Amino acid sequence: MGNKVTTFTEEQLEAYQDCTLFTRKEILRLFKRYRELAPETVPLDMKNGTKKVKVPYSIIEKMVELKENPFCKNICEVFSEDGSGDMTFDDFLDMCSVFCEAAPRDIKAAYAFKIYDFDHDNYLSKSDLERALTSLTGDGLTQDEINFVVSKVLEEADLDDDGMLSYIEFEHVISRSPDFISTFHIRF
Amino acid sequence: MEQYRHQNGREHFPLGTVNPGYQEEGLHYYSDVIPPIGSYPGYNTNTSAHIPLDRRGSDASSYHSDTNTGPRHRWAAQEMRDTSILLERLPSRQLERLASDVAQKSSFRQKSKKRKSLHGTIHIPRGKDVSKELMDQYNEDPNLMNEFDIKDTTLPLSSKMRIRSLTKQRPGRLKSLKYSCGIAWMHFRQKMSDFAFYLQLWKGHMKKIEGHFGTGVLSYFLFLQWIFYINIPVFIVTFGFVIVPQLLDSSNISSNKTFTGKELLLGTGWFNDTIMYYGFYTNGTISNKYEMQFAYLLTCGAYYIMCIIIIALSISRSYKTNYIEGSGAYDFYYVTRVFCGWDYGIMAVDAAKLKHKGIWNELKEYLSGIQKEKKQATCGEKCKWIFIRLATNLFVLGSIGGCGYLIYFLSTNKVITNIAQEELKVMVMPICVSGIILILPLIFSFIGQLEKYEKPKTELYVGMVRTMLLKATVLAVLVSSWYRNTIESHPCWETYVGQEIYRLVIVDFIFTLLVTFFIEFIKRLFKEHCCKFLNYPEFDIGRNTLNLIYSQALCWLGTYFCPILSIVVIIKLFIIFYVKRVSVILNCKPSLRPWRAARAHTIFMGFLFVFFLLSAAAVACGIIFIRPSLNCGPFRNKDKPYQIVTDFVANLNHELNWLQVIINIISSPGFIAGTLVVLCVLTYYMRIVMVGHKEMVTLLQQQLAMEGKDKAYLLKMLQEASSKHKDKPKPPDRSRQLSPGAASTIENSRPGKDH
Repeated sequence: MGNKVTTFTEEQLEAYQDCTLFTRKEILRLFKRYRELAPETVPLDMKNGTKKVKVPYSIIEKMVELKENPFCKNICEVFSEDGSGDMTFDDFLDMCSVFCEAAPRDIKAAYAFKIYDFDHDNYLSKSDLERALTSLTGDGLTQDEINFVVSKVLEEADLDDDGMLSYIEFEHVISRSPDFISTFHIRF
Repeated sequence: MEQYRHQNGREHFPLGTVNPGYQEEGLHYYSDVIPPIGSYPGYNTNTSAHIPLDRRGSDASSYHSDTNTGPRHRWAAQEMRDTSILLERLPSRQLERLASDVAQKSSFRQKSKKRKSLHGTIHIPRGKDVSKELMDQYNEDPNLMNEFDIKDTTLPLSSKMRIRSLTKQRPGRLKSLKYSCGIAWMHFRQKMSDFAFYLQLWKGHMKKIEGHFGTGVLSYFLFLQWIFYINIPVFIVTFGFVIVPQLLDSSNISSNKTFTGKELLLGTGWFNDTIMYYGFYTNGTISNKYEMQFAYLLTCGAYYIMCIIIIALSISRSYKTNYIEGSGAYDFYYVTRVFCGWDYGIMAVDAAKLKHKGIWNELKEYLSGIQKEKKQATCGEKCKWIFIRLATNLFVLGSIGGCGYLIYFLSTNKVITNIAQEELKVMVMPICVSGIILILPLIFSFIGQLEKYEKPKTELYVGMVRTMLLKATVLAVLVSSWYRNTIESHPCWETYVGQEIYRLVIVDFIFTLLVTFFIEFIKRLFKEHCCKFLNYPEFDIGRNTLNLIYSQALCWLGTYFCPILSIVVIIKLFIIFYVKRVSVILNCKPSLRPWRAARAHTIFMGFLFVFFLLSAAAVACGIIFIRPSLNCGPFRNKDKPYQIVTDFVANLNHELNWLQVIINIISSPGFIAGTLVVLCVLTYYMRIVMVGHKEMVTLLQQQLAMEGKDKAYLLKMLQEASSKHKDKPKPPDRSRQLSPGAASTIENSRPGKDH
């Protein structure tokens, strides 16, 4: 505070504070981060509205936190408003909020489900699981092994035996996993 | 299909095929959640039956988008569309929306009242105007906004802000006082977290470490930070209540010794008659108001109680999240590997490559382990392994006993006292102790490899238990030898004990620095310049964390005898953090083996708690049973330090007689025994409840699987009925499959079906 040019109005900052898990200082720090990605596109003064300014996907995917993530594309698509991967500042803040330490387990599980759902049909079908597995291991596993692992996953988690994981089943399993919170966490 | 059309949001199906399990009395708990098909109390009739399509235009036809080939899994196109439309209208497909109603109405999920997340919003796609839908719900139930926090929904941020602005325009509906109090509280909390944000130490370093090495190595640094934070209140309490009053008290003469550098290492000399040690403290009353005796003892009690509360809360929280919620009938191995396998914090290229490789490795190992024939080990094999493990355990216990005896021997025998040089005489014991603690765990880990446990996790845990047993034994022997022997040989034995502990802390610190230097730095230099066959050093998380626990145990043991010790340990931890951080980034490479940080954290907290109890017990023995020295310290004219409390209780005035009576009752053996019995009964009761819940969970899971089969059967019947209705000729025995998994089960369970 005490900047010569304030980036947000008071109402905007209060709104952000109410709707995310960040404090005022963190929001300003994250805005600085966002602006560093594309200084020409993002103005210093966002009082008029945050919807018009979008940082394209090609820049976001080069962010040091997301660069090495095999699910980078999915993350950007899930959090961007129009699904293309270009993110406004609201989307960016949303993403940071979900991945931060204080985010509750339910929210993380909900977004994890969306991220792993490659074909966006609100179910984790076999193809989604296969694609997730290939993203994790590269080309190391043979097709047989992939099929085996996918069938094992379905065996463990698919309670109503319909060949896919719905959100309820996914959340049931993920909430039993102690490592989920610590791995599903990015410090922005 | 007309009779199955959607009518007022309710499905009508012949009830004869409902699973009779629904109608059993004992399972009302279950049928509240998934109501029998045919009645649907919680269904929100305002929304249309049509599921909002995802913006990417995937429609019902992509329901089975998998490309598993084979006639068993393929749908006929026409039936696929019909049945998919049917499926989309099934209650279970709307289940997520229902779950939000259920969560608010019953306490099925047993969540804490604070967090009620709207699961229903998982289906609402981004970009659609969702605020209108929520506003409709809000209109029906004005208390909706009171019950959940908008932060807990999975809406996109812009929608949340829109809803917030919309609902903020209706202040009359909310209870205005409650609202303003809530807002004020939230602002206060936010100011506090702003403040805490500044105080947070080492954030940038943690991020770098996590980016390079992942959560495993990070957990060591987080543990270090946690222990650093826990020492700060201990220091503040001792400083405020014990050290500062003593400094203000002018009745002690300053010593005439000069300060040389050696005191930092030895702890003797100029330090001897300063606030550093117990011996300096007066037993009188400072400024005629402040009783030093009470202050010293009560401060000691206060920080122990503070530490025990913090550790107990921390360990119970950790145990709850990692063990209780993570246990149950199922061990979700594959699901955890696929969905929680990737560490999202990794940022460096080589760490990412290594993580991919690590996941691949783990899966390959597990797969090969399953596919191997599991031969039953022959009796001879089993006997051999039992014998080997017995022998190794005996060896380990023997070596621990041997070390204990060595320490005892060194402390009692006159060997040490015969050494002429002063410095060497006092340093022999700490160097010996630290040497034992350094070398023997390496031997234990080597033995652990010989034992060839099946799971690497077992090997790790066994190694940790052995190391901690060794450290506990060494410390126990030391403390008992102090209490028994030094009382006669030193005029001010508490100061001597304080000095011993101080030396132990300093030598431990020096050894940590040396080990870091040799194991990590030198090894990397060797690897790079001469011996190519060596591996890059890896950061040994287990060994380092156990060292932290040992040093913290020393701190708790020694603060009674040496009040300054907490600040010494704080400085030590600060330096160690930077040394380790530089060393790990410079020298080490990430490890291929995954480190289950969550479970390991609980176990380390368990060790910390055990060591805390042992240290507290040792100090309590010193307070209650051992005679304080006659010429120094705050308790010099008492028989036992604890006498202060008993004298105080005995001398309570008549007005406070009831307090005396209460204290006498509480400290009587009958009361304590009664409390113990009640606690045991409570523990047993909790355990019984837990066992009952586990069985219930298994039952419910079987029920769920049966439901899935029922549903598949019903859909099959529907499909055949609908195709009969369309008068399509079909071969009578061609089996139609509904879902890949249900096919075989249907065929197995109902061989003679009639259409």
